[in-house]
Amino acid sequence: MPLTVKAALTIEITGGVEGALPIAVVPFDTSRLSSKLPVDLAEIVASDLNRSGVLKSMSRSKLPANPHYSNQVQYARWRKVGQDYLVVGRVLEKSPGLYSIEFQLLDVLKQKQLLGRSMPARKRNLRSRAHQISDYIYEQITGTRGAFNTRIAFVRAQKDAARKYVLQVADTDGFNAQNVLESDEPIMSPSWSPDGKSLAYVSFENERPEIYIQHLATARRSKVAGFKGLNSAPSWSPNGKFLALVLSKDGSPDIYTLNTATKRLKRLTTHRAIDTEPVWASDGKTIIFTSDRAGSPQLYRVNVDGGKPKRVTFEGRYNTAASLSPDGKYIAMVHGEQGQYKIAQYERGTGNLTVLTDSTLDESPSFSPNGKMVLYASTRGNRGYLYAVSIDGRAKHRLSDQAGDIREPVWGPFESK
Amino acid sequence: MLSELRKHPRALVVSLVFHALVIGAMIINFTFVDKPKTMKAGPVAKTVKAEVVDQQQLDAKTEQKQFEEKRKREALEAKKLAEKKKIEAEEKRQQEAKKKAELKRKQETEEKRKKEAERKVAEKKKAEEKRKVEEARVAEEKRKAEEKQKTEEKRKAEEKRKAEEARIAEEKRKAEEARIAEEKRKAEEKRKAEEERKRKEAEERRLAEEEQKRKEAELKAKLLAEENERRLNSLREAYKLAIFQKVKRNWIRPAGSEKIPECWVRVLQGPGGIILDVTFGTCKGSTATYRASIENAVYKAEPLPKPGDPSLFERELNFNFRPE
Repeated sequence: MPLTVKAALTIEITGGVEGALPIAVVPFDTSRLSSKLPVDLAEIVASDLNRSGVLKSMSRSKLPANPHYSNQVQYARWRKVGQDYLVVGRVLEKSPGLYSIEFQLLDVLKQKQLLGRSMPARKRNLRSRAHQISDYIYEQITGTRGAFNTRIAFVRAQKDAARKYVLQVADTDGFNAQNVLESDEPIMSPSWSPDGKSLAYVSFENERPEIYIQHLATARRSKVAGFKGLNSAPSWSPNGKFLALVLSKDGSPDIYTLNTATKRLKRLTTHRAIDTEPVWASDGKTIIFTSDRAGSPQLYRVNVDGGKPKRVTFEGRYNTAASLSPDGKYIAMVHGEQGQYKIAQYERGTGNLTVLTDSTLDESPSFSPNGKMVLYASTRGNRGYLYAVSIDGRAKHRLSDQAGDIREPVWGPFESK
Repeated sequence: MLSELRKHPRALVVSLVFHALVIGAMIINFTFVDKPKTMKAGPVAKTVKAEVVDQQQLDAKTEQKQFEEKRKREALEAKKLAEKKKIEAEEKRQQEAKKKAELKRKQETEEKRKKEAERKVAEKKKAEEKRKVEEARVAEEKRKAEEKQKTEEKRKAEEKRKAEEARIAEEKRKAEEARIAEEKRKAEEKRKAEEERKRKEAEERRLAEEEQKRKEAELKAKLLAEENERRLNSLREAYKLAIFQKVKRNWIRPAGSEKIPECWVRVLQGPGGIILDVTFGTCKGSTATYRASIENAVYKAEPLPKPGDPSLFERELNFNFRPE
């Protein structure tokens, strides 16, 4: 419906090419610093934006100019090389070790500044600041909050290391990985607390699976489930008061909820088939889980207050490891077909299933907190690698190379400041 | 010669005077040519006269003197005699010479007279000739004058005749002219009448034609307007197509946007197709990225194409973006 009837000419524009908005991130000026920065801020920003699939950052070697301030920008040159947006910036040193990062996001087509920010930084949080810049830019352009400055957790298995298993937390680009737990025995199923301050996970350190909660900053931890049989797949409720988990103390693995304060358990499923991988809906009222009660593993939904689980997925013979989008509309999952396991996105309203990856052995999809990307592990050869794919499946990027076999990545929440 | 004379003016004067005298003499001579003077020939006797001596003075001396005188006179007489003889000889010789000279002079005079006579005859002849020439000239002049007069008279008569003839001819011509003019006038009147008739006819025809033409022009204008309308319509379509193509070419929309039904965008453009403003209208189900992609597509299409006819330029354009 036209917004005006006065205009004489109405032109229908149909088609268009699907693609990402072109953006150029010019290396920030660091020439006035007493010592070289350990990180390349612009590079971090450019690769962040690139991973989003919404924006496509220009290759640094193709940049036609090297401005650092908006008034140095000749817009025509950037327009000529097909850029819609341009990021310029510089780092100033307020006092030794205390920096000020300034950047501007410019609209090349309208030749105006869309955003300008200045933020203090120290050497240790330079990466975090770069991701923050990515978030600002991303949000300015897409209207969606950026999730670059969040963290991810995953398990790394290293055969030849002193400790074979390490639970790590890293930046969303895979850099800046820090150990949370090292063990000679397997570590599994990390889950972020909604406030991002703690992780729940399964550790085999006692030679059987037990569930722990560990506060990241203090490294204080506690075992929350050590029942006989299987204690696995913990998942934090949106309000942070409950864990959904899988216990087999009563027979077959079933879904339970655990009040972390009162330690009260509530059994949600009783089927003799395997019920596992529970995840909470963002409203905290339902839990999606995997069950092979129908023969092949499929996703089911159960009310946290109890009731009969309902099957969610029907397409294909293998749909597991659900991750719910923050708005609850989409479920990312492992979709198996003909011996190949790929990450797929299931739209709950329409039932449409979209396969996002084209590899053969992918696992553990995890939505970014803004719902725009999915983190997963992909096994290539004998090793698992960290991957991120945009929810349209267009942008797929392997995160920074790390040694070892990476498993079960999980994307952390937005961190409140 | 002249310069020579100028150098010697006196010589000139002398010469002139001499010539004048000669001519004068000749004229005088000529005047008396009919009465020639006969010159007296013979020697002229020289007479010696004795002086009269004062008697008183001779008183004292007379005697002596007389003596001396006598002697002297005798001596003188002797001398005189000798001289007389000498003179006589001389005189004889002179007489002889004189005779000779006289003869010669006579001969010369005769010669001269002869010549003079001849010259006179010649002159007379010449004068006669001259007179005859003069007479002839006068006669000729007279004849010429008479002839001239005659000719003049003849000419005048001729002129008069001619004038008369001319007058008659003129009168005749005038009459003819008048006749012709009259004829002409009549013809002109006739022609004018004819012309008037023709003009009226032509006017009527012209009016009819004009009416016809007007009708044709109206039809043509109508057709032209229709044609122009068709042309403008076609140009408008081309304009729209050009805008469509340029914007579409620049539209990179985010993945997953194909489900968005439609997005209305109002674009204000300035002269030269410069984008002044982009405003979103109904755009259900869109994302900021999607809207950014549309806005960018419009800005990337700047300058928007020009219409084939300036009248088709629209400041305000309505776009409906649909992925499918």
